[in-house]
Amino acid sequence: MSDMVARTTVIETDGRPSDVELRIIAFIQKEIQDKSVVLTRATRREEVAIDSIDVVNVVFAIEEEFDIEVDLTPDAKFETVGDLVDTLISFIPAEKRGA
Amino acid sequence: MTGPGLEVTGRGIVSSLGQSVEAFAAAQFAGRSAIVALDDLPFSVRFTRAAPIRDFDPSAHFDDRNLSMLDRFAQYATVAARQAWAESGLAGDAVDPTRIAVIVGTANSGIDILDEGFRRIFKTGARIPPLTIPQTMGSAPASRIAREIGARGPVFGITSACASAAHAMLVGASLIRAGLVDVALVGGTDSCFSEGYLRAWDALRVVAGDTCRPFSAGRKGLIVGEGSAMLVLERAGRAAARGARPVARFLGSGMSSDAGDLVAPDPAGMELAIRHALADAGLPADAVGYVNAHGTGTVANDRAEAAAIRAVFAGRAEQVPVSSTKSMVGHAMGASGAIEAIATIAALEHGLVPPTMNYLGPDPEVGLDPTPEVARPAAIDVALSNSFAFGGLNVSLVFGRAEG
Repeated sequence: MSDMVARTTVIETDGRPSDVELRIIAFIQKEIQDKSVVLTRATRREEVAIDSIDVVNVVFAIEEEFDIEVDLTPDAKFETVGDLVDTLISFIPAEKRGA
Repeated sequence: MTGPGLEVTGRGIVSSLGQSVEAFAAAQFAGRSAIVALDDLPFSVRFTRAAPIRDFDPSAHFDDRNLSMLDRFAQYATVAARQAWAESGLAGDAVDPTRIAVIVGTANSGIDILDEGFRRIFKTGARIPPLTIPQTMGSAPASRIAREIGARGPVFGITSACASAAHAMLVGASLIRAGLVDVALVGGTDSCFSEGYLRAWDALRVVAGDTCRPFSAGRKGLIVGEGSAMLVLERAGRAAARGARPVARFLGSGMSSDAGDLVAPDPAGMELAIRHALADAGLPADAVGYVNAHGTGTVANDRAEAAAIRAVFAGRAEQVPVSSTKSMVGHAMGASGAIEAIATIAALEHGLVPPTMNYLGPDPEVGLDPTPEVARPAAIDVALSNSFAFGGLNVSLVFGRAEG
Protein backbone atom coordinates (compact mmCIF):
# COMPACT_ATOMS: atom_id res chain seq x y z
CA MET A 1 0.00 0.00 0.00
CA SER A 2 1.18 3.48 -0.82
CA ASP A 3 1.13 4.86 2.71
CA MET A 4 3.12 1.93 4.11
CA VAL A 5 6.15 4.08 4.86
CA ALA A 6 4.12 6.83 6.46
CA ARG A 7 2.39 4.31 8.73
CA THR A 8 5.54 2.53 9.77
CA THR A 9 6.16 2.92 13.44
CA VAL A 10 9.64 2.76 14.83
CA ILE A 11 9.67 0.39 17.77
CA GLU A 12 12.01 1.56 20.51
CA THR A 13 13.81 -1.45 21.88
CA ASP A 14 17.35 -2.31 22.76
CA GLY A 15 17.72 -4.27 19.53
CA ARG A 16 15.61 -7.25 20.54
CA PRO A 17 12.00 -7.53 19.38
CA SER A 18 9.46 -6.14 21.85
CA ASP A 19 6.72 -8.31 23.32
CA VAL A 20 4.12 -6.89 20.98
CA GLU A 21 6.35 -7.57 18.00
CA LEU A 22 6.79 -11.16 19.11
CA ARG A 23 3.03 -11.56 19.50
CA ILE A 24 2.43 -10.21 16.00
CA ILE A 25 5.15 -12.42 14.51
CA ALA A 26 3.53 -15.41 16.24
CA PHE A 27 0.21 -14.60 14.54
CA ILE A 28 1.93 -14.45 11.15
CA GLN A 29 3.85 -17.62 11.91
CA LYS A 30 0.58 -19.43 12.65
CA GLU A 31 -0.87 -18.51 9.26
CA ILE A 32 2.01 -19.21 6.90
CA GLN A 33 1.76 -22.43 4.94
CA ASP A 34 5.35 -23.62 5.30
CA LYS A 35 5.57 -24.35 9.01
CA SER A 36 9.28 -25.14 8.76
CA VAL A 37 10.13 -21.48 8.21
CA VAL A 38 10.89 -19.62 11.44
CA LEU A 39 10.01 -15.97 10.96
CA THR A 40 12.09 -13.07 12.21
CA ARG A 41 11.80 -9.35 11.51
CA ALA A 42 14.44 -9.75 8.83
CA THR A 43 12.66 -12.54 6.93
CA ARG A 44 12.07 -11.24 3.42
CA ARG A 45 8.69 -11.68 1.80
CA GLU A 46 10.09 -13.66 -1.13
CA GLU A 47 11.66 -16.18 1.28
CA VAL A 48 8.30 -17.28 2.58
CA ALA A 49 4.91 -17.88 0.96
CA ILE A 50 2.51 -15.33 2.43
CA ASP A 51 -0.56 -14.74 0.32
CA SER A 52 -3.57 -12.46 0.62
CA ILE A 53 -5.53 -15.07 2.58
CA ASP A 54 -2.72 -15.30 5.13
CA VAL A 55 -2.68 -11.52 5.47
CA VAL A 56 -6.44 -11.28 5.92
CA ASN A 57 -6.36 -14.03 8.55
CA VAL A 58 -3.53 -12.29 10.41
CA VAL A 59 -5.39 -8.98 10.32
CA PHE A 60 -8.50 -10.68 11.71
CA ALA A 61 -6.54 -12.38 14.48
CA ILE A 62 -4.94 -9.08 15.51
CA GLU A 63 -8.27 -7.25 15.44
CA GLU A 64 -9.70 -9.90 17.73
CA GLU A 65 -6.68 -10.02 20.02
CA PHE A 66 -6.38 -6.27 20.54
CA ASP A 67 -10.01 -5.29 19.88
CA ILE A 68 -9.00 -2.77 17.24
CA GLU A 69 -9.71 -2.00 13.61
CA VAL A 70 -6.87 -2.65 11.17
CA ASP A 71 -7.39 -0.77 7.93
CA LEU A 72 -5.08 -2.87 5.80
CA THR A 73 -5.97 -4.44 2.47
CA PRO A 74 -4.98 -8.05 1.73
CA ASP A 75 -2.73 -6.90 -1.11
CA ALA A 76 -0.65 -4.65 1.15
CA LYS A 77 2.96 -4.48 -0.04
CA PHE A 78 5.82 -5.20 2.34
CA GLU A 79 9.41 -6.30 1.87
CA THR A 80 10.18 -7.94 5.18
CA VAL A 81 8.19 -9.47 8.01
CA GLY A 82 9.43 -6.54 10.09
CA ASP A 83 7.72 -4.11 7.70
CA LEU A 84 4.43 -5.96 8.04
CA VAL A 85 4.80 -6.16 11.83
CA ASP A 86 5.47 -2.42 12.10
CA THR A 87 2.46 -1.63 9.92
CA LEU A 88 0.20 -3.84 12.02
CA ILE A 89 1.54 -2.36 15.25
CA SER A 90 0.82 1.13 13.95
CA PHE A 91 -2.88 0.31 14.25
CA ILE A 92 -2.56 -0.71 17.90
CA PRO A 93 -2.92 2.20 20.33
CA ALA A 94 0.11 2.51 22.60
CA GLU A 95 -1.86 1.60 25.74
CA LYS A 96 -2.80 -1.78 24.20
CA ARG A 97 0.72 -2.73 23.21
CA GLY A 98 1.67 -4.05 26.63
CA ALA A 99 1.67 -7.78 27.32
CA MET B 1 -30.37 -42.84 -24.47
CA THR B 2 -28.89 -40.87 -27.33
CA GLY B 3 -25.13 -40.43 -27.40
CA PRO B 4 -22.65 -42.70 -25.66
CA GLY B 5 -23.63 -44.94 -22.75
CA LEU B 6 -22.42 -43.80 -19.36
CA GLU B 7 -21.00 -45.55 -16.33
CA VAL B 8 -20.57 -44.69 -12.69
CA THR B 9 -16.93 -45.39 -11.92
CA GLY B 10 -16.48 -43.88 -8.47
CA ARG B 11 -18.51 -43.14 -5.34
CA GLY B 12 -17.93 -41.29 -2.10
CA ILE B 13 -20.17 -40.51 0.85
CA VAL B 14 -20.19 -38.62 4.12
CA SER B 15 -23.45 -39.45 5.85
CA SER B 16 -24.96 -40.01 9.25
CA LEU B 17 -25.12 -43.69 8.29
CA GLY B 18 -21.43 -44.02 7.47
CA GLN B 19 -18.51 -42.20 5.93
CA SER B 20 -17.58 -44.78 3.32
CA VAL B 21 -19.67 -46.53 0.68
CA GLU B 22 -19.07 -49.87 2.40
CA ALA B 23 -20.18 -48.64 5.83
CA PHE B 24 -23.21 -46.89 4.38
CA ALA B 25 -24.31 -49.91 2.33
CA ALA B 26 -23.91 -52.31 5.25
CA ALA B 27 -25.93 -50.00 7.51
CA GLN B 28 -28.75 -49.51 5.03
CA PHE B 29 -29.13 -53.24 4.38
CA ALA B 30 -29.13 -53.87 8.13
CA GLY B 31 -31.89 -51.27 8.47
CA ARG B 32 -29.87 -49.21 10.90
CA SER B 33 -31.29 -45.77 11.55
CA ALA B 34 -29.12 -42.70 12.10
CA ILE B 35 -32.11 -40.79 13.47
CA VAL B 36 -31.26 -39.86 17.06
CA ALA B 37 -32.50 -37.68 19.89
CA LEU B 38 -31.48 -34.03 19.52
CA ASP B 39 -30.79 -33.60 23.20
CA ASP B 40 -27.74 -31.37 22.99
CA LEU B 41 -29.09 -28.29 21.21
CA PRO B 42 -28.44 -24.97 22.98
CA PHE B 43 -31.79 -23.68 21.67
CA SER B 44 -35.24 -25.16 21.36
CA VAL B 45 -37.26 -26.42 18.42
CA ARG B 46 -40.47 -28.43 18.51
CA PHE B 47 -39.01 -31.56 16.97
CA THR B 48 -36.73 -33.72 19.07
CA ARG B 49 -35.10 -36.10 16.60
CA ALA B 50 -32.86 -35.72 13.56
CA ALA B 51 -30.02 -37.43 11.71
CA PRO B 52 -26.92 -35.25 12.20
CA ILE B 53 -23.43 -36.46 11.36
CA ARG B 54 -21.88 -36.84 14.80
CA ASP B 55 -18.46 -38.25 14.04
CA PHE B 56 -17.04 -36.07 11.27
CA ASP B 57 -13.72 -34.60 12.38
CA PRO B 58 -12.79 -31.73 10.03
CA SER B 59 -9.21 -31.59 11.31
CA ALA B 60 -8.71 -35.21 10.23
CA HIS B 61 -9.23 -34.05 6.64
CA PHE B 62 -8.05 -30.41 6.47
CA ASP B 63 -5.39 -28.23 8.07
CA ASP B 64 -6.26 -24.97 9.85
CA ARG B 65 -5.63 -22.80 6.81
CA ASN B 66 -7.94 -24.86 4.63
CA LEU B 67 -10.58 -25.01 7.35
CA SER B 68 -10.62 -21.20 7.40
CA MET B 69 -11.73 -21.37 3.75
CA LEU B 70 -14.26 -24.22 3.85
CA ASP B 71 -17.68 -24.20 5.46
CA ARG B 72 -18.97 -27.54 6.63
CA PHE B 73 -20.94 -28.32 3.46
CA ALA B 74 -17.77 -27.86 1.40
CA GLN B 75 -15.84 -30.09 3.80
CA TYR B 76 -18.38 -32.90 3.42
CA ALA B 77 -18.34 -32.64 -0.39
CA THR B 78 -14.56 -32.56 -0.62
CA VAL B 79 -14.17 -35.67 1.53
CA ALA B 80 -16.85 -37.50 -0.49
CA ALA B 81 -15.19 -36.41 -3.75
CA ARG B 82 -11.80 -37.70 -2.60
CA GLN B 83 -13.34 -41.14 -1.99
CA ALA B 84 -15.09 -41.12 -5.38
CA TRP B 85 -11.98 -40.03 -7.22
CA ALA B 86 -9.94 -42.76 -5.49
CA GLU B 87 -12.47 -45.46 -6.38
CA SER B 88 -12.52 -44.37 -10.03
CA GLY B 89 -8.78 -44.91 -10.34
CA LEU B 90 -8.56 -41.69 -12.35
CA ALA B 91 -6.04 -40.08 -10.00
CA GLY B 92 -3.07 -41.59 -11.78
CA ASP B 93 -4.68 -41.56 -15.21
CA ALA B 94 -3.90 -39.12 -17.97
CA VAL B 95 -7.17 -37.23 -18.36
CA ASP B 96 -7.20 -33.93 -20.22
CA PRO B 97 -7.93 -31.54 -17.32
CA THR B 98 -10.06 -29.31 -19.55
CA ARG B 99 -12.40 -32.26 -20.13
CA ILE B 100 -13.20 -32.88 -16.46
CA ALA B 101 -16.38 -31.32 -15.03
CA VAL B 102 -17.21 -30.84 -11.35
CA ILE B 103 -20.84 -30.05 -10.55
CA VAL B 104 -22.08 -30.01 -6.97
CA GLY B 105 -25.67 -29.44 -5.92
CA THR B 106 -26.61 -27.68 -2.71
CA ALA B 107 -29.87 -26.40 -1.29
CA ASN B 108 -28.36 -24.34 1.51
CA SER B 109 -24.90 -23.23 0.38
CA GLY B 110 -22.66 -22.07 3.26
CA ILE B 111 -25.40 -21.68 5.80
CA ASP B 112 -23.28 -22.47 8.86
CA ILE B 113 -20.86 -19.60 8.31
CA LEU B 114 -23.74 -17.31 7.33
CA ASP B 115 -25.66 -18.25 10.46
CA GLU B 116 -22.55 -17.68 12.58
CA GLY B 117 -21.94 -14.32 10.91
CA PHE B 118 -25.46 -13.12 11.59
CA ARG B 119 -25.26 -14.40 15.16
CA ARG B 120 -22.12 -12.32 15.66
CA ILE B 121 -23.61 -9.22 14.02
CA PHE B 122 -26.97 -9.23 15.73
CA LYS B 123 -26.33 -11.00 19.03
CA THR B 124 -22.78 -10.66 20.21
CA GLY B 125 -21.41 -7.75 18.21
CA ALA B 126 -18.30 -9.78 17.41
CA ARG B 127 -16.30 -9.51 14.21
CA ILE B 128 -17.09 -11.73 11.23
CA PRO B 129 -14.48 -14.21 10.01
CA PRO B 130 -12.64 -12.68 7.03
CA LEU B 131 -13.38 -15.52 4.61
CA THR B 132 -17.14 -15.54 5.22
CA ILE B 133 -18.02 -14.56 1.65
CA PRO B 134 -16.03 -17.26 -0.16
CA GLN B 135 -17.29 -19.83 2.36
CA THR B 136 -20.94 -18.98 1.74
CA MET B 137 -20.73 -19.47 -2.03
CA GLY B 138 -22.83 -22.35 -3.30
CA SER B 139 -20.08 -23.05 -5.81
CA ALA B 140 -17.37 -23.30 -3.12
CA PRO B 141 -17.45 -27.13 -2.94
CA ALA B 142 -17.10 -27.40 -6.73
CA SER B 143 -14.16 -24.97 -6.74
CA ARG B 144 -12.42 -26.80 -3.93
CA ILE B 145 -12.85 -30.21 -5.55
CA ALA B 146 -11.70 -28.87 -8.93
CA ARG B 147 -8.55 -27.57 -7.27
CA GLU B 148 -7.83 -30.91 -5.61
CA ILE B 149 -8.28 -33.05 -8.74
CA GLY B 150 -7.06 -30.43 -11.22
CA ALA B 151 -10.34 -30.13 -13.12
CA ARG B 152 -10.18 -27.22 -15.58
CA GLY B 153 -13.41 -27.83 -17.51
CA PRO B 154 -16.98 -26.85 -16.56
CA VAL B 155 -17.08 -26.35 -12.78
CA PHE B 156 -20.05 -24.88 -10.94
CA GLY B 157 -22.67 -25.32 -8.24
CA ILE B 158 -26.28 -26.09 -8.93
CA THR B 159 -29.35 -25.44 -6.83
CA SER B 160 -32.86 -26.88 -6.91
CA ALA B 161 -33.62 -27.43 -3.22
CA CYS B 162 -33.98 -31.15 -2.52
CA ALA B 163 -33.36 -32.14 -6.16
CA SER B 164 -30.00 -30.30 -6.34
CA ALA B 165 -27.79 -33.39 -6.36
CA ALA B 166 -30.00 -35.14 -8.90
CA HIS B 167 -29.89 -32.12 -11.20
CA ALA B 168 -26.09 -32.04 -10.79
CA MET B 169 -25.84 -35.71 -11.84
CA LEU B 170 -28.17 -35.12 -14.77
CA VAL B 171 -26.22 -32.09 -15.97
CA GLY B 172 -22.88 -33.89 -15.62
CA ALA B 173 -24.20 -36.82 -17.63
CA SER B 174 -25.52 -34.41 -20.26
CA LEU B 175 -22.12 -32.72 -20.64
CA ILE B 176 -20.51 -36.08 -21.31
CA ARG B 177 -23.25 -37.09 -23.76
CA ALA B 178 -22.89 -33.76 -25.56
CA GLY B 179 -19.19 -34.50 -26.02
CA LEU B 180 -18.06 -31.52 -23.96
CA VAL B 181 -16.23 -33.50 -21.26
CA ASP B 182 -14.95 -37.03 -20.68
CA VAL B 183 -15.36 -37.19 -16.91
CA ALA B 184 -17.88 -35.58 -14.56
CA LEU B 185 -17.53 -35.59 -10.78
CA VAL B 186 -21.08 -34.87 -9.63
CA GLY B 187 -23.23 -34.98 -6.52
CA GLY B 188 -24.57 -32.86 -3.72
CA THR B 189 -23.88 -31.59 -0.24
CA ASP B 190 -25.57 -29.81 2.62
CA SER B 191 -24.93 -29.05 6.26
CA CYS B 192 -28.19 -28.68 8.15
CA PHE B 193 -27.64 -28.15 11.85
CA SER B 194 -27.15 -24.44 12.39
CA GLU B 195 -29.63 -22.81 14.76
CA GLY B 196 -31.20 -20.59 12.11
CA TYR B 197 -31.70 -23.46 9.70
CA LEU B 198 -33.31 -25.81 12.22
CA ARG B 199 -35.58 -23.05 13.51
CA ALA B 200 -36.64 -22.28 9.94
CA TRP B 201 -37.65 -25.93 9.42
CA ASP B 202 -39.47 -25.82 12.74
CA ALA B 203 -41.41 -22.78 11.53
CA LEU B 204 -42.53 -24.64 8.40
CA ARG B 205 -44.11 -27.36 10.58
CA VAL B 206 -43.35 -30.30 8.31
CA VAL B 207 -40.77 -31.97 10.56
CA ALA B 208 -42.01 -35.09 12.33
CA GLY B 209 -42.17 -34.98 16.11
CA ASP B 210 -41.36 -38.69 16.26
CA THR B 211 -39.42 -40.12 13.34
CA CYS B 212 -39.39 -40.53 9.56
CA ARG B 213 -41.94 -43.14 8.38
CA PRO B 214 -42.10 -42.92 4.59
CA PHE B 215 -45.24 -44.36 2.96
CA SER B 216 -46.42 -45.60 6.36
CA ALA B 217 -49.73 -45.13 8.08
CA GLY B 218 -49.27 -42.53 10.80
CA ARG B 219 -46.37 -40.71 9.15
CA LYS B 220 -45.98 -37.20 10.50
CA GLY B 221 -43.32 -35.53 8.41
CA LEU B 222 -39.68 -35.47 7.45
CA ILE B 223 -36.60 -35.71 9.65
CA VAL B 224 -33.68 -33.35 9.04
CA GLY B 225 -30.46 -35.03 7.93
CA GLU B 226 -27.27 -33.82 6.23
CA GLY B 227 -24.16 -34.96 4.39
CA SER B 228 -22.72 -35.36 0.93
CA ALA B 229 -22.28 -37.94 -1.77
CA MET B 230 -20.29 -37.65 -5.00
CA LEU B 231 -20.12 -39.88 -8.07
CA VAL B 232 -17.74 -40.11 -11.00
CA LEU B 233 -19.47 -40.45 -14.38
CA GLU B 234 -17.66 -41.45 -17.56
CA ARG B 235 -18.43 -42.65 -21.04
CA ALA B 236 -18.92 -46.42 -21.04
CA GLY B 237 -15.72 -48.30 -21.74
CA ARG B 238 -13.26 -45.73 -20.42
CA ALA B 239 -12.93 -47.48 -17.08
CA ALA B 240 -12.39 -50.91 -18.64
CA ALA B 241 -9.70 -49.45 -20.89
CA ARG B 242 -7.60 -48.52 -17.84
CA GLY B 243 -8.37 -51.74 -16.00
CA ALA B 244 -10.93 -50.23 -13.63
CA ARG B 245 -14.32 -51.73 -12.91
CA PRO B 246 -17.44 -49.57 -13.29
CA VAL B 247 -19.79 -49.79 -10.31
CA ALA B 248 -23.01 -49.20 -12.24
CA ARG B 249 -24.42 -48.01 -15.53
CA PHE B 250 -26.06 -44.58 -15.74
CA LEU B 251 -28.89 -45.40 -18.13
CA GLY B 252 -30.88 -42.21 -18.31
CA SER B 253 -32.41 -39.24 -16.58
CA GLY B 254 -35.51 -37.11 -16.79
CA MET B 255 -36.67 -33.86 -15.29
CA SER B 256 -39.77 -31.75 -15.11
CA SER B 257 -41.32 -28.82 -13.31
CA ASP B 258 -44.78 -28.72 -11.75
CA ALA B 259 -45.10 -25.05 -12.70
CA GLY B 260 -47.14 -25.02 -9.54
CA ASP B 261 -47.11 -24.65 -5.81
CA LEU B 262 -44.05 -23.64 -3.77
CA VAL B 263 -44.48 -26.51 -1.32
CA ALA B 264 -47.37 -28.79 -2.39
CA PRO B 265 -46.21 -31.58 -4.71
CA ASP B 266 -47.99 -32.47 -7.94
CA PRO B 267 -48.12 -36.17 -8.92
CA ALA B 268 -48.34 -35.22 -12.60
CA GLY B 269 -44.97 -33.43 -12.46
CA MET B 270 -43.35 -36.37 -10.69
CA GLU B 271 -44.82 -38.82 -13.20
CA LEU B 272 -43.51 -36.73 -16.07
CA ALA B 273 -39.93 -36.83 -14.70
CA ILE B 274 -40.09 -40.64 -14.29
CA ARG B 275 -41.51 -41.10 -17.78
CA HIS B 276 -38.85 -38.82 -19.27
CA ALA B 277 -36.14 -40.79 -17.49
CA LEU B 278 -37.41 -44.13 -18.78
CA ALA B 279 -37.77 -42.73 -22.29
CA ASP B 280 -34.22 -41.36 -22.07
CA ALA B 281 -33.01 -44.83 -21.03
CA GLY B 282 -35.05 -46.39 -23.82
CA LEU B 283 -36.65 -48.75 -21.32
CA PRO B 284 -40.25 -49.71 -20.57
CA ALA B 285 -41.52 -49.37 -16.99
CA ASP B 286 -41.53 -53.19 -16.84
CA ALA B 287 -37.72 -53.19 -16.89
CA VAL B 288 -37.56 -51.46 -13.48
CA GLY B 289 -36.90 -53.79 -10.56
CA TYR B 290 -36.62 -51.28 -7.74
CA VAL B 291 -37.58 -47.68 -7.02
CA ASN B 292 -35.55 -45.66 -4.53
CA ALA B 293 -38.21 -43.12 -3.70
CA HIS B 294 -37.85 -39.48 -2.75
CA GLY B 295 -39.99 -40.68 0.19
CA THR B 296 -39.69 -37.79 2.63
CA GLY B 297 -42.23 -39.09 5.11
CA THR B 298 -44.55 -36.12 4.75
CA VAL B 299 -48.20 -36.99 4.14
CA ALA B 300 -48.27 -34.90 0.95
CA ASN B 301 -45.01 -36.04 -0.71
CA ASP B 302 -45.54 -39.73 -0.18
CA ARG B 303 -49.16 -39.61 -1.33
CA ALA B 304 -48.20 -37.68 -4.50
CA GLU B 305 -45.12 -39.81 -5.21
CA ALA B 306 -47.12 -43.02 -4.73
CA ALA B 307 -49.71 -41.74 -7.21
CA ALA B 308 -46.96 -40.98 -9.74
CA ILE B 309 -45.36 -44.42 -9.31
CA ARG B 310 -48.77 -46.12 -9.61
CA ALA B 311 -49.44 -44.21 -12.82
CA VAL B 312 -46.10 -45.18 -14.38
CA PHE B 313 -46.30 -48.85 -13.36
CA ALA B 314 -49.99 -49.07 -14.29
CA GLY B 315 -51.48 -52.11 -12.59
CA ARG B 316 -48.22 -53.65 -11.32
CA ALA B 317 -47.05 -50.95 -8.91
CA GLU B 318 -47.36 -53.30 -5.93
CA GLN B 319 -45.03 -55.80 -7.59
CA VAL B 320 -42.15 -53.27 -7.77
CA PRO B 321 -40.32 -52.88 -4.47
CA VAL B 322 -40.00 -49.27 -3.36
CA SER B 323 -38.04 -47.92 -0.41
CA SER B 324 -36.94 -44.66 1.14
CA THR B 325 -33.38 -44.09 2.30
CA LYS B 326 -34.66 -41.09 4.28
CA SER B 327 -36.16 -43.49 6.83
CA MET B 328 -32.55 -44.12 7.90
CA VAL B 329 -30.58 -40.93 7.13
CA GLY B 330 -33.34 -38.34 7.26
CA HIS B 331 -33.54 -35.67 4.59
CA ALA B 332 -30.06 -34.51 3.55
CA MET B 333 -31.64 -31.79 1.37
CA GLY B 334 -29.42 -30.90 -1.59
CA ALA B 335 -27.30 -34.01 -0.97
CA SER B 336 -30.18 -36.46 -0.79
CA GLY B 337 -30.29 -37.33 -4.50
CA ALA B 338 -26.62 -38.34 -4.49
CA ILE B 339 -26.82 -40.23 -1.19
CA GLU B 340 -29.83 -42.09 -2.60
CA ALA B 341 -27.98 -42.78 -5.87
CA ILE B 342 -25.32 -44.51 -3.77
CA ALA B 343 -28.08 -46.45 -1.99
CA THR B 344 -29.62 -47.43 -5.34
CA ILE B 345 -26.30 -48.54 -6.82
CA ALA B 346 -25.63 -50.64 -3.71
CA ALA B 347 -29.01 -52.32 -4.23
CA LEU B 348 -28.03 -53.21 -7.81
CA GLU B 349 -24.58 -54.34 -6.75
CA HIS B 350 -25.67 -56.52 -3.83
CA GLY B 351 -28.99 -57.79 -5.24
CA LEU B 352 -30.77 -56.48 -2.15
CA VAL B 353 -33.62 -54.02 -1.80
CA PRO B 354 -32.89 -51.74 1.16
CA PRO B 355 -35.78 -51.45 3.60
CA THR B 356 -38.02 -48.56 4.58
CA MET B 357 -37.68 -48.32 8.36
CA ASN B 358 -40.06 -47.10 11.05
CA TYR B 359 -43.01 -48.57 9.16
CA LEU B 360 -46.22 -48.92 11.17
CA GLY B 361 -48.52 -50.35 8.50
CA PRO B 362 -50.00 -49.65 5.09
CA ASP B 363 -51.60 -46.34 4.20
CA PRO B 364 -54.53 -47.11 1.88
CA GLU B 365 -53.71 -43.99 -0.12
CA VAL B 366 -50.21 -45.28 -0.97
CA GLY B 367 -50.80 -48.65 -2.65
CA LEU B 368 -47.12 -49.58 -3.03
CA ASP B 369 -44.79 -52.19 -1.55
CA PRO B 370 -42.44 -50.03 0.56
CA THR B 371 -40.21 -52.98 1.60
CA PRO B 372 -40.93 -52.48 5.30
CA GLU B 373 -38.29 -53.01 7.96
CA VAL B 374 -36.19 -55.77 6.35
CA ALA B 375 -33.94 -55.78 3.27
CA ARG B 376 -35.09 -58.22 0.62
CA PRO B 377 -33.04 -60.20 -1.90
CA ALA B 378 -33.93 -59.37 -5.49
CA ALA B 379 -31.94 -59.63 -8.69
CA ILE B 380 -32.32 -56.07 -9.91
CA ASP B 381 -31.05 -55.02 -13.34
CA VAL B 382 -32.55 -51.55 -13.48
CA ALA B 383 -33.52 -49.15 -10.70
CA LEU B 384 -35.05 -45.70 -10.50
CA SER B 385 -34.00 -42.99 -8.05
CA ASN B 386 -36.41 -40.10 -7.55
CA SER B 387 -35.73 -36.58 -6.27
CA PHE B 388 -38.62 -34.15 -5.99
CA ALA B 389 -38.00 -30.66 -4.64
CA PHE B 390 -40.09 -27.93 -3.09
CA GLY B 391 -41.15 -25.61 -5.86
CA GLY B 392 -42.11 -28.59 -8.02
CA LEU B 393 -38.67 -29.45 -9.44
CA ASN B 394 -38.50 -33.13 -10.30
CA VAL B 395 -35.69 -35.45 -11.37
CA SER B 396 -35.67 -39.19 -11.89
CA LEU B 397 -32.49 -41.14 -12.64
CA VAL B 398 -32.18 -44.65 -14.09
CA PHE B 399 -29.27 -46.82 -12.98
CA GLY B 400 -28.36 -50.28 -14.24
CA ARG B 401 -26.33 -53.08 -12.69
CA ALA B 402 -22.74 -53.05 -13.90
CA GLU B 403 -22.06 -55.68 -16.53
CA GLY B 404 -19.81 -58.61 -15.73
